[in-house]
Amino acid sequence: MSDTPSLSEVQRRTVRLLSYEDGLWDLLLGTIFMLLAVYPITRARLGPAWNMVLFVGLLLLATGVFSVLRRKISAPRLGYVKARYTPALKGMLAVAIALVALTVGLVILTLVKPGWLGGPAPEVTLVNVKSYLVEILVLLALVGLFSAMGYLFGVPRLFLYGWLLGCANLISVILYRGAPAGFNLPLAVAAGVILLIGAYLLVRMLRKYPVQGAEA
Amino acid sequence: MGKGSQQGLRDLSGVDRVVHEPARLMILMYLYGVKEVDALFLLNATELTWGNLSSHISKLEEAGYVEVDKGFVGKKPRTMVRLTSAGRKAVDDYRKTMQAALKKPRIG
Repeated sequence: MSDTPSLSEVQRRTVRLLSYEDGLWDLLLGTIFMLLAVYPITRARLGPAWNMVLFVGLLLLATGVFSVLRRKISAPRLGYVKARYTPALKGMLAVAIALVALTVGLVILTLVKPGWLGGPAPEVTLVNVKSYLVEILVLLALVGLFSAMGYLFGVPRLFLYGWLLGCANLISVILYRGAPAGFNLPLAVAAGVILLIGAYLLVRMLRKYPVQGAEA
Repeated sequence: MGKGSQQGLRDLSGVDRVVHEPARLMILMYLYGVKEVDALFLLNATELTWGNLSSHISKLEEAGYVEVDKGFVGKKPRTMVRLTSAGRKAVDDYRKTMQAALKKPRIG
């Protein structure tokens, strides 16, 4: 190990090996934001209510598929760990889930209904920076959330994801002057980059950790 | 050298050698933060060979520091390893001893 050997570093390495080594988490994240990128198109065709049903359905399907993939592809290669749920870990998990839900909720709100805090998005000028306060807050929330996760688990690419998704969200609102009517290109580009990184990590994991024939 | 530091050095000579061995310490550190893991995870995490890992787990099991369950998932064998309370105490004691022994001097 190149890192300083300590119990906390070993715990971080355990989380890294099980959650971030196979790229499946990245692929799931990329898929979620790619779904958000096509959200305006399906919304125009299906209407807000059915579109939400479709979005949540696809989200659940994607989560299910990636869970199965993790069990079938990653577990036989990386191994199996049963977590020890200490009160501190439970608290951290609860905060992490709340933050993720809050961020996804904010992104959906700014994309689907940018005027939720008053009117459509104004023209982009330096004077109007205050008018983009919500979008800037979403950017900071995304950067903060991903940076915290990246720092906590020692996964530097999460810093990039925070900036990518935060900037994509801000650019899309500025570019489309409010809710995008068609394909959300900035968000799709960000999601595409994350999907590519996830695919690379998955291939690397498959090569680096072949399925073990038998235990000693 | 004061009486306290002499006592500290005497404690160091009595350090648990089962825990002190680097590969076994690494295994114990991985087990410390989790409920249980399979041998495959330990193999990847510690980067030991199957033979080495198996031998170190056996020594830890003999010392009563880990419990080993051999089972099957479908048709594939799976060996689960978990830290016992004696193992947890051994890691805690070892940490205290080493922390005290390697404490930086106030002068120099």
